[in-house]
Amino acid sequence: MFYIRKLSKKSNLFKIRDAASNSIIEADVLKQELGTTRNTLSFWKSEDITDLKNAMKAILLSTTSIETSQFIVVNDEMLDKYGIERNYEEKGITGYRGYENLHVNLCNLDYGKMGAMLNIIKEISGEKAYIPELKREEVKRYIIEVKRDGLLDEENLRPELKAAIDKYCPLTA
Amino acid sequence: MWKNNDFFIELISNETELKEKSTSSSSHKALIIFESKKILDEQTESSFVLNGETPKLKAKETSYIDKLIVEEKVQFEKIKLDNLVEELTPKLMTELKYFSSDDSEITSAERLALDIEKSYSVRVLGEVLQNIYIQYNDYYNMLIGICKILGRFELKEVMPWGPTMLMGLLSHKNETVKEYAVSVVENWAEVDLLPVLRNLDCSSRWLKEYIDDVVKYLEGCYVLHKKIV
Repeated sequence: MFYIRKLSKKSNLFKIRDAASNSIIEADVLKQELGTTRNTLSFWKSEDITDLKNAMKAILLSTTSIETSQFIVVNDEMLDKYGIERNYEEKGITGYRGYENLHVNLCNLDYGKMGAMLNIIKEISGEKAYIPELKREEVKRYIIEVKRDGLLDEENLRPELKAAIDKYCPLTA
Repeated sequence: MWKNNDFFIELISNETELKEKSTSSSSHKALIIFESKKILDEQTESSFVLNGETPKLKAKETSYIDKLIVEEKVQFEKIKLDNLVEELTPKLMTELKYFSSDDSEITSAERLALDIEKSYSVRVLGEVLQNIYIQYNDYYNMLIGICKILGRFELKEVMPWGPTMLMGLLSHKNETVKEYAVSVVENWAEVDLLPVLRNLDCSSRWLKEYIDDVVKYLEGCYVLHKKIV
């Protein structure tokens, strides 16, 4: 199984990759990209790394804006190597109807495991397949696809994202 | 055209001219009643400018009094705009002072900016942002907030003030401000900014890599654009 997460800033990927050691990675980077809630980090799962579309759509429709999006992908092997546990029970909140169950929590995280997450990100940062990206126009296309398929759940959309979708993702585009 | 002894109304395209015969003067007083809808400028998507400089006024011979009245109205609208900007600037400025780039949620500054654009116009928002940008150029967090706000709009919506402001943000000495400005360029996919990005000065390796990444992307856009053209 593969697990995908959106970074808040693409430049943070370069910061993590270029740091000679984890100890000199800026504190803001940790807060921005690995900020936990109840010691968990949200990811979305996909069985196939070559087809991450549904997981990406679920993520995009859980955010607050339409923008170029940098993702990271990890897999069971990487997580098991560092003893990082997964919990599949909590459904995600997303405007992609029917795909709430793709949500996964990396749970019981502690200081050591956060260091492990940084190591994992460093390891994958050189592998294109594990750091997919969607430019803004592609994000719009994905959202339009969801709309066309009748799977846009407006009740679970953030108001700002809904306004942006209404403005920038018309079905006639 | 409809007449009575005192005035006549002539309907011309979208405007109605109410001309009154003055008893004290031999010239006609022309009260031009305009429709209140916004017009589209060539460069901006919507404008708060009064529908004063209409083709009708430009095309036909207009009297000095007509022009005076129109100019007065334009002045009035300009004062109204200035007052509105003066009222909104401190509100957005306060929100930007508390802007946090660590927030994964939408910030109150961004929310207020979107409200301003929705309630008034993107031009009003532009005037407000430019005021803050000039006054608070040393406050990095506020400039980052301005970048985040800019990034929520498409390039064509914020012309011409958006790219102008972005140029200033790209050349700011603080590299975090530069970083956020580069992300706006990436979102806009604006190939005209390629030369600016190629010549951006920065010391951090990660920022150089990020800029190179965006330059590569824009070069790809440029090649694609050339092929299509």
